[in-house]
Amino acid sequence: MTATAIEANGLGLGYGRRGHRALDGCSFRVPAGRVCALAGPNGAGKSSLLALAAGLLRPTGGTLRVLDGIPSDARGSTSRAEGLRGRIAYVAQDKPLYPQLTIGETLRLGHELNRGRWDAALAERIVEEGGGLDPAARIRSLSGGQRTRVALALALAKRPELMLLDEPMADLDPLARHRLTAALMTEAADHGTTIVISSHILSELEATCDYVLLLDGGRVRLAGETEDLISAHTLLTGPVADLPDHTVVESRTTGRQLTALVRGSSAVGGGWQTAQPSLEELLMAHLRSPDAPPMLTPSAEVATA
Amino acid sequence: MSTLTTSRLRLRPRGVTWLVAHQHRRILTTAAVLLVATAVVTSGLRIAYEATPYDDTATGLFTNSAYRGGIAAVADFFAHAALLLPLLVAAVVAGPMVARELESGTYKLVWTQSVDPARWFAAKVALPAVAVGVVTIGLIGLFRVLWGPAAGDYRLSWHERQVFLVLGPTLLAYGLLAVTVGALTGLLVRRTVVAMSAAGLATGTAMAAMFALSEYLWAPASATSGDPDSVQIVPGEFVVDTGLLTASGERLPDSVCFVQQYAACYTEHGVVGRWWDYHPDSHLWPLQLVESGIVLALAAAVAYAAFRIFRSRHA
Amino acid sequence: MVEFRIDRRSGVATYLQIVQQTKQALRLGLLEPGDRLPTAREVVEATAINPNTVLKAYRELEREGLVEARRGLGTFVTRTLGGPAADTPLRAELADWLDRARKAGLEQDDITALFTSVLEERADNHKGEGA
Repeated sequence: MTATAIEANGLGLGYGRRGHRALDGCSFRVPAGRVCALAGPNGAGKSSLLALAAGLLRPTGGTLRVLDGIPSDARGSTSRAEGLRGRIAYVAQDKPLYPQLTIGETLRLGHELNRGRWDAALAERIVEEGGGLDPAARIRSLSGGQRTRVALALALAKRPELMLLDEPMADLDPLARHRLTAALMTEAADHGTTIVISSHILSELEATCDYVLLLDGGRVRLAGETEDLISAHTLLTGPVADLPDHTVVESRTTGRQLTALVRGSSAVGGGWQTAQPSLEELLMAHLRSPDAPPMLTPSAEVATA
Repeated sequence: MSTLTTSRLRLRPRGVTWLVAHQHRRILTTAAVLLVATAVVTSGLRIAYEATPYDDTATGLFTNSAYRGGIAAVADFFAHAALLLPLLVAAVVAGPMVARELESGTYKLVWTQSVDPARWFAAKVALPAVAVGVVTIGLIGLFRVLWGPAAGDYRLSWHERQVFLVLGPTLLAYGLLAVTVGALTGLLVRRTVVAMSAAGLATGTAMAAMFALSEYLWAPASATSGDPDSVQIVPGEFVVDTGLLTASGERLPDSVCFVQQYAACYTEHGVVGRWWDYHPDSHLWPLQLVESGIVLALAAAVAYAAFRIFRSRHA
Repeated sequence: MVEFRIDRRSGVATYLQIVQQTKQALRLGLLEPGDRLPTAREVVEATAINPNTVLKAYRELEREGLVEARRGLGTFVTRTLGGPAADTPLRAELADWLDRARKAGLEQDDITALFTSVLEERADNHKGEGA
């Protein structure tokens, strides 16, 4: 296992004739063994980043290394999924599956394509859990949540070192979400699998993710351990006055009260109520202030050669 | 539940080859069934023909010629249907095989289940190519079986475009061209129905263009006659061009004396005879091979383009 | 075996919730020295939280000397959290005070409110001293 799961240096992805950029000069590092939240508004480039890491697209600028190779150059092998592609699992946002196949045939497809890495028992267990799905049911007859289950079964059963999940829980009811999150966390606990989840549901991320990557407009805004990022910021409330000498991420005034999120955790002068922001507050503040400078913790920095 | 994923796999295609074959098994079995049906009908007719080798003028039973007539009709249909085969192949490869996967996003599933995208695309080209190879060679053979007795029929002379197509490797070449054009079109036009139409159109255009060039691909033989008004005397009737011959051996086009007073025109230009450029029967194979060669080269170029584009976009 | 309940919206860090709930279990006698704490995997399977959080909580408990991690076996409780003994003199004094409060006419709720208010007031002062 490698120590770095993902390392991007100046990564860019552009498309269309007007040179629209989905990603623009992203540099960050995700260490192995983390559960990383990939957050950001629509159009921030999250899906593009995951697709690049999965080797579905070629970057148009910069470099991207995943585990210890370059995903878009990775060659799979015919009979054994030993290559880089075998070690990465990816589930797209629309959870593509072949509609005319049955669940059993879909799992068989996973077995056939991932020879040597496939854990058939795990796949069946995930599909059967909590009111088992009929293996003879055709994919097109399944609900969104059931499709997600099958798609995640395919991803988990190939025993990957890295899982890239694009909004996996969007279709699920809270119970199913809890069960599948538990399955993912158990996987991380057992095998130290690195998991990168892009999600809109920020409130749930704090308990599951120990690493966060915030993208906005194709650029990295925050990257690093959630704990460290949170403790590096302070939420100040108090009567409207000049803010102390810290980098201000965002400040809002309502009437006579000023609320501000600042960088820095050293003691602030009198009159200010301090508190530690939640992950959601931290991310939202950065999204509301696009001009705030990006912040990366040391483990998320990429050494620019 | 363990029957979900038991692997009773011995000598079967593995990995991506299995996937593509399994995915499109309906198309493959349909093609196989059609080939077998064609074989049955063709051999049945030929056997029946061989079994009645006579025309009994006494009893008025002209069974032989009746069978010959029937065979000619079937062969004519066969040849015309074969014209459509490359168009169909192009549409099938472009649509259900390539564009639909790109449009629906199922390719994302395959490429992240440890399958190399380039291998996947290669399989999508190779598998139909092999199937087309088998089917076209089969059809060419079967047509010849049918053509034997009825070759004299005016509809079935080898210089008829559709007959020429099925008589030799040209059908195979156009079939392979159709596969590559379909793959490239599906890759560029990621919408299933549009890709199918575009691929069919492109293949048809290529065929039409080649057909126009076809007779010029091999140097024709020449013949002359002393009578400028003689009807064609050349063997095989495959005339490429004809015109008026002067005493000095100069060749003039027919249009020069296409007037009422043609006799006077002849005298005026010193026309003493007629020349023909034609292809005798012995030119069948050279023409077949040259045309097939060009079409196969075209197919290779299209395939190369398709793979280059694929590599530059994906992996 | 103790079961953890994680409240994601409480504002309290997840690992702290585990630490607090373990300590509470020790106080209530649900956990005794020699008991094995659930493995990270078991906690994660039930609560769907990050396994590193569990490990962090267990490290904190180990730091406070309440548990001990034994390689390959698990994490085991090493000592109880000293709760007051049943016959501490404080208990008799408290019982006395309660009788007096009752005689003064205070209801159960009033007593609880009074007690909580004084407890908090004193807690602030204590924090000021001990910080």
